[in-house]
Amino acid sequence: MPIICFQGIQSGVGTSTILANVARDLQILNQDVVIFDLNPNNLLRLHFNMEWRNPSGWARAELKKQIWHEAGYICEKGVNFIPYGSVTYDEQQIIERTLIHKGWLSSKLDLLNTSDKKWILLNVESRLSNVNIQAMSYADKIIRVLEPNTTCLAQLYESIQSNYFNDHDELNNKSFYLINKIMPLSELDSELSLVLKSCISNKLIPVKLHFDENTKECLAQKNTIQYYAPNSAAAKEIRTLTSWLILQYDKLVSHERV
Amino acid sequence: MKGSDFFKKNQIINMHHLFLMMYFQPVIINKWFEFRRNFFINKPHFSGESFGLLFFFFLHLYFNEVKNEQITKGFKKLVPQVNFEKLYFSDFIRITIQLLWLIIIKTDVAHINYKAKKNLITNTFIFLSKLLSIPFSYTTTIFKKILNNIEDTDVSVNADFKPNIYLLIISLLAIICLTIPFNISAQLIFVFIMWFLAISIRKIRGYLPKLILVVLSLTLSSRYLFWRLTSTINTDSTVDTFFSIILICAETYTWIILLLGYFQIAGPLQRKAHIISETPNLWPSVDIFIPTYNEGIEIVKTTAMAALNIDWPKDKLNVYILDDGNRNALHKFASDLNIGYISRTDNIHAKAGNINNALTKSNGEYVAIFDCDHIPVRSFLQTTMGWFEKDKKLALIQTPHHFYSPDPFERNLNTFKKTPNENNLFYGVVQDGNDLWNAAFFCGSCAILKRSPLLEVGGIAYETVTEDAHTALKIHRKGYTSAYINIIQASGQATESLSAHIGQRIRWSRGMAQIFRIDNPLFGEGLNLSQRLCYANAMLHFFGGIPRLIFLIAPLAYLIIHAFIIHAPPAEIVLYAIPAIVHSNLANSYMHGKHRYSFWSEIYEAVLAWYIAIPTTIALFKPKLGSFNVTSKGGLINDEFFDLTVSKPYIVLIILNIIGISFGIYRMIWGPNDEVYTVILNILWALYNLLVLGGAISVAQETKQTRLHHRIEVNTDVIIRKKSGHLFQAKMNNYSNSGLGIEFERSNIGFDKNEHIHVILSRGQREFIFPIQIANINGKYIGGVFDHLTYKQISDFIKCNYSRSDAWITWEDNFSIDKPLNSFVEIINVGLKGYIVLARSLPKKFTKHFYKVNKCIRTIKTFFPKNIHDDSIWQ
Repeated sequence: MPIICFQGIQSGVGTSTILANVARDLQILNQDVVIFDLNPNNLLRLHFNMEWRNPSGWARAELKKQIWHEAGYICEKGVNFIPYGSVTYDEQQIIERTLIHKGWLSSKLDLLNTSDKKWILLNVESRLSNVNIQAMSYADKIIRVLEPNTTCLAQLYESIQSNYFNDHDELNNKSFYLINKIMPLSELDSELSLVLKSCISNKLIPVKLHFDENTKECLAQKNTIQYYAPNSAAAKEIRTLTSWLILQYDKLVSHERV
Repeated sequence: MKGSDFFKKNQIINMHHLFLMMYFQPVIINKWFEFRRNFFINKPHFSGESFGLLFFFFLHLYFNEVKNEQITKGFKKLVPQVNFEKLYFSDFIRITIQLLWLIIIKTDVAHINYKAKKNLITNTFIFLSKLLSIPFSYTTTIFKKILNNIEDTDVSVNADFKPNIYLLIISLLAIICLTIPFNISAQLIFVFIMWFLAISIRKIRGYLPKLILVVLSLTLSSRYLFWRLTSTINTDSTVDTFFSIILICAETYTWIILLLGYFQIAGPLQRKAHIISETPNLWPSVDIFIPTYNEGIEIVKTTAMAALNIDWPKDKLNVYILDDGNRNALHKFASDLNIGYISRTDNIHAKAGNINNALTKSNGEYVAIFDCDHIPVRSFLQTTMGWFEKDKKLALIQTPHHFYSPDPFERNLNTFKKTPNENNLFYGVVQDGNDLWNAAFFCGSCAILKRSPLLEVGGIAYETVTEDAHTALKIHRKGYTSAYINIIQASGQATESLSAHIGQRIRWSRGMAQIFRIDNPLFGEGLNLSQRLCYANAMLHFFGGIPRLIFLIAPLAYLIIHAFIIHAPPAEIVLYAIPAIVHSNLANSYMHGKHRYSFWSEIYEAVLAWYIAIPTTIALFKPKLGSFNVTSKGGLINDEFFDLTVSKPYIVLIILNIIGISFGIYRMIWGPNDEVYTVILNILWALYNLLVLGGAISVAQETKQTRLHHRIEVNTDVIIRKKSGHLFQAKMNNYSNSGLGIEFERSNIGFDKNEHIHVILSRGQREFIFPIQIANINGKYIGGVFDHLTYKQISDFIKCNYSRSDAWITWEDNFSIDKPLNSFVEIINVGLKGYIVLARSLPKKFTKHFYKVNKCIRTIKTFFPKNIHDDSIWQ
C-alpha cells in the first residue's frame, strides 16, 4: 500500500492543491484513496466541497476524546479524506505537546491500512513538527513541492529542513521534487527552473506544473481541476503526475514479483 | 448439427442443394434446412428456395450483426450508398445488389463470425491462388537457403585465384547467352523460366537477390537489343529504314541508361553520421553561405536564423548572407543579428560568381552552402563534420534536399506524402549509389565543402549553368573524395508551379549537357572508371527527352504511314520486348524500394521530355548559349487553372496518337488480314502512350495554392495561455513562418476571434512562449497568426520547429515498398484524370455533353456494391 507524503519546501507553494487534485485523479482512475490531512491550516477539505464553517476533523475529535477516524468524510465524487479540523492556537499547542507521542501516526495509519491497493496521501506542512517528522519517516515516498523562485532555491540549500534531510539518507532517498507554479511569461521562472533541474536532476519528477488561473478558480469553486476545467493545462499536468506515481508503484510491484 | 450429419439423415442431395452450397454459408444452409423442415414438412421441394434462403440469411445477418447497434442504424451502415432520408424506387435495387454482394462475395465482411468459414466461391478462389503461388514460394525457400549458404561461405580470395580466366569464361557464357537465337517456342520457355525465377527471387531482400534480378534483366534486355540489331532492322524502303534506325537509336540509348543505372545504384553505401572525436576547441571553423538573388526576404531571414542556431562553437561559426539583389532590408537585418552580409556590384556568373566573391571575403576552413529557402536543422554540422576528420582527402559532403511543401506533381496529382516524389529517387537511392563509387556530387545546397580543395579548382565552376555538378567533377578530377549522408538535415520549399518546375529542369538539363560537351567526364584526367560512368549516367540521363518523344510517337509510324519499323512477326516482338520491359521494371522496383514507385518515372519523364529535348541538343552543339535562371519558389496560385501553354506539346502528341489509333482501327477492319496482330500491338502501344500523356496533362491542372507560407503538418503538445492567465492543453497541427494551427480536444473552449493569446512550446528541457492572435475559429480548430515577434522569439520558434534535429526524420516512414500492380492502377487513374481535365477545358458546347455522359456514368456507379469500411457495426 503506497503511503505518500506531500510537503511544500515552504508554505504557499500549492501542496494541498496538488494533493487534492492527484487524489481526485487517482480516484478517477479507479484507485482507492484516503487523504489524511496533517496540516493545521485545514485547507485541503475545501477542495472537496466541505462546508466552510464545519469545524470537524481528527484533531478536534482527539481533543474531545471522540473516535478520531469518525471525522473522515467521503466527497460526492468518492474520495475519502480526513480533515484536520479547526483548532485554536492553544488547542494546537496541546495537540503538539501532549497528544502526538512516539508511534502516534503509525498506529493511526495501521487502522487506515485495510487493503494492499489503498493509496494513503498525507498532507504535511512545510515546518518540521513532531507529526511531520513521523509522517515523513513513515511514508514510502515524500514529494516535496518547489516553486521556481529564489527563496525556494535558498530553502533547498540553506534551511533547517534541508539540513534535516541531509542528515538522513533514508529521507533523501525517498524524496522527490516537483516544480509548481511556473509562470510561462516569466523569463526568471524558466531560468530558475533550469537551475533547479540541474541541482536535483535525478530526483525531479518529469512533470512541469504551470501557474494556471484555472487552478486558482477551482479552489474558489471548492472543486478539483478534473471536474472544474477538464481541458485546462493543469488537468493534463496533474494526470501526468498521477500516471507517474502509479507507474512508480507498478514498477515496485513488478520488481518484487521478480 | 454439422453439415455431414444432416446429409446422412436426409440422404437426399440434389443438385439444387449443391448449388446453394456454392454461394451460401454452410452454417446458414443447415439452419435453413432445419427451419424448412419444421415449417414446410409436406413440401420437400419448396419453390423459391434461393429467395427463401436469401431472406433467411438476411434476417440472420440483420439480427446477429447489428444487435449492439440500433437496428436501423446498423442496417444503414450495411448499405452506405443509399440515403435513407430520401428513398427512391431505384434504391431498392441498390439495397438488393449490396446485400447480395455482402452475402455471396464479401461474406467475411457481412458476418464476422464466419470469417473462417467462407462459401464455396470464395474458397475456390483462395484455393486457386494458393495453388498458383506454391511453386513460387517453394522456389523462394530454395533460393533463400542457397543464398544463405553463399553468404556464409568464406569469400577470401586465395593466392592463385586468376580473375582473368573466370572473366573470360563468364564473358564467353554471356556472349552465348545473348546471341544464341531461339525459335518462338524456345523463347517462350526461356522467357517463362526467367520470369518465374525473378518472381520467386524478388521476395527475398538482400544484396545477392538484387544482383540476380539485375543480371536477369540485363540478359533479357541485351538479348532484345541484339535481336533487334541483327534481325529486325527493316531495309525494304528508305522510309522504313529511316524510322527503323531512329527507333533503334532510341532503344540503344535506353539500354545504355539502364546499364549505367544498374551500375550506379548497385550498392548504395548508406553512410551513417560520424561523431567528431576531438574536443570542441579543436573543431575547425565553418562559414555558412546563404546565396540569394530575388527571393522573399522572409525566407532568407528564416534560413539565416536557423543557420545561426546550428550546434557549433559560436566563435567558429560564421553565417553570411550573399545578397546579389543588394537589398537594404536584408543588410539591416544582417547587421541587427550580427550576420555577415556580402553583396557585389556586378552579378556576373550568377550563383557561382556570388559564392566565389564571398570566398574572397571570408576565411573559414569549411564552407557550407544553403539555398536561401533551405532551412538547416541544428545537427547539420554534427552529422557531417566527423567524416572530414576521418577521411583527410574528403572535400565535399552532400545531404538530401528535402521539401516540406508539395512539388507541382504532388500538389496537382494529390500524391503529397502518399507517393514518393521525383526527388526521392535521386536523394534516396542514386546519390547513395554514387557514394559507393566515390562519385556523390554537389547539388548546390545543403552541402559542405572544404575550402582549400575548392580554391584549388578555382572556386565554384562558372562555365555552365549547373555550377554544382561541375564543381564536384573538378574536385573529383583533382583526386579528392566526396560523401553523401542520407539524413535529412535541411528542408525547403518546392517550386510552386509546373512551369517553374519545368524551367528548373530545363536549366539542369542544359547545364549537364554543357558539362558533357566542354568537360566530358568520360575523358580527361583524374577520374577512375566508375566515377566516369556515374557522371556519364547523370548527364546522359538528361538527354532522354528525344528518345522519350520517339517512343511516344513510334507506333504512329506504322499506324499512319504504314512503315514497318520493327521487321519481325508480332508474336516475336511481344516475346522479346515485353520480358525486357517487365524485368527491368522488376529489377528497378526492387532497387528503388520505397523511393520511386513503378511507372511513375514514365510520367515524370514524359512531362519533361519535350522541354528538355531542345535545350540539351542546343547545349550539346553550342554550349556557351543561354544564361542562369533563378528558380522561383513560394508563390501563390489563387485560382485553379489549366496550364494550357505548358501542356500544348502533349495535346499535340495526344491528338497524333488518337489519329493513329483511328487509322489502326481502320486498318484492322479494312486492312490486310495478316497484319491484324501487328495493328493490335501498335494500338496497344499507342494506348499506353495515351495513358502516360494523360498523366502529363493532369499535372498541368494547377490546383489552388493560397498560402504564401506553406504550413507544415506536425502533431505536438502545446499549452495555450489566455490573457486572463488560464492555460489550456492543445495540440499544434501545423506551423509556418506566419502562424500556426491548434486543435483542442473539445470545441467551445471560449476563445474569440482576434483574441490575443500565447502559445507555449517546449524543446527539450526548455519552454518558449509566443504571442499569437486568433485569425479563425472552426469548431475545435483555431488558426493563429504571430503577433509581432521579436528576433529572439522568431529564432526560438525556428529552434522549436524547423531546425529541431528530428524535424524531418520520420517523413519517409509512411511510404511502403513499391507494389508494381498498385502503381499501375494509380497511373491509369492519373492518366484518365488527364482526359477529364482536357474535356473540362474544351468550349462549353462540347463540355455540356460530357457532363451528361459523366452524370450517366455516375448514376450507374451508384448501383455498384460498396465495401464497408466502418468496423463499428461489429463492435
